[in-house]
Amino acid sequence: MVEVSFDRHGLDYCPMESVCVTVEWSSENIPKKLQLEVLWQTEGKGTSDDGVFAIEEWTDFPNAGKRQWSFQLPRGPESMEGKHFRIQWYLSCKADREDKRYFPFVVSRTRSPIQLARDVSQDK
Amino acid sequence: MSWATATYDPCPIEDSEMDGPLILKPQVGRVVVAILLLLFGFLFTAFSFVMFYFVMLSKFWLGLICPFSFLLFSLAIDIIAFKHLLKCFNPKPTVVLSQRNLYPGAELEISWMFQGQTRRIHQLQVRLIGRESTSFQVGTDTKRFESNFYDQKIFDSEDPEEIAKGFVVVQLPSDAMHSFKTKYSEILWLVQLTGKIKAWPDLDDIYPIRILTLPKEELAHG
Repeated sequence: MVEVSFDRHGLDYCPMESVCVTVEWSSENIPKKLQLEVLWQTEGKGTSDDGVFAIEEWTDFPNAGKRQWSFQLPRGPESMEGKHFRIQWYLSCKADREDKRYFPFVVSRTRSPIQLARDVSQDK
Repeated sequence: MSWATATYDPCPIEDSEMDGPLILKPQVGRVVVAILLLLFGFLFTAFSFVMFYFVMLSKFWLGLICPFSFLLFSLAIDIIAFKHLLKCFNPKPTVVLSQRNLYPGAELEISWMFQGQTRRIHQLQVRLIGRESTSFQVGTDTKRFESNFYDQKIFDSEDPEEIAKGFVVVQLPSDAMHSFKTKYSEILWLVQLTGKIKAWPDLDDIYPIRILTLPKEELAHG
């Protein structure tokens, strides 16, 4: 199994910020094909929507080692948590026939998901 | 790099470099709502009478309960439709935003000018509303979840001059979520104008506004 790591431990990024991910593999586990995707997804009470922002595909790998991929995040959508749904960003990784693995991270100008008030009644 | 859901608006950005005043369009036109309700009410009433006719023919008198309840329901729709028809004759506002490109934390001016018998409105309220909505679809059934996460009264007056033509300056919250629209989920920002009218259905118009994601120069990278 390949190992995926981000350049920042907190996994919280600002929109438009550059992200660098490192993919590592051992000599016993050299993948033939690897696909990385950056995507957001809505999760909650409603039917899920998603949008793929960037895709990277590698087919040539040295015996053992690591490889890096850098990309610049878009302006949005920003990570958010509401009463009925939330927006979550993921980096997905699929190596050969392995199941796709998802690594969540935050994209927000405050570096934490924007919290929406649960419900607001009218101030008459 | 491209968006998979390009027909929606998950990441609103500037339509053009130009930034000037913007005349807002109502979320749903008054006439459209009135026509749809009248049509729906008419169809229901007609269906109820057809049911009455067949029950009378069969002389199964207990069966009258069904068309009678349908008729009561259609009467309720007709009353609502009539109320919306009357609303079409309410004074019509032209609502203008001072700038087209709105960002979280921005200050904006909302101005309005009414056409028609403005003196009939004895109280006008303007609200800024943030609304979250999502829907769950299974087959042909759709369940909708909706709630307001922001609701601020930004104008309230009984002064006829201010009601007829006025403006209000408001600052959007700096931590506001930008507008967001996908097939099933939405973050909506709305300007709501409600006017109280004596012996007539109240004015209630809603205008969506689009809050954009912050541009690069506004983002401070830590």
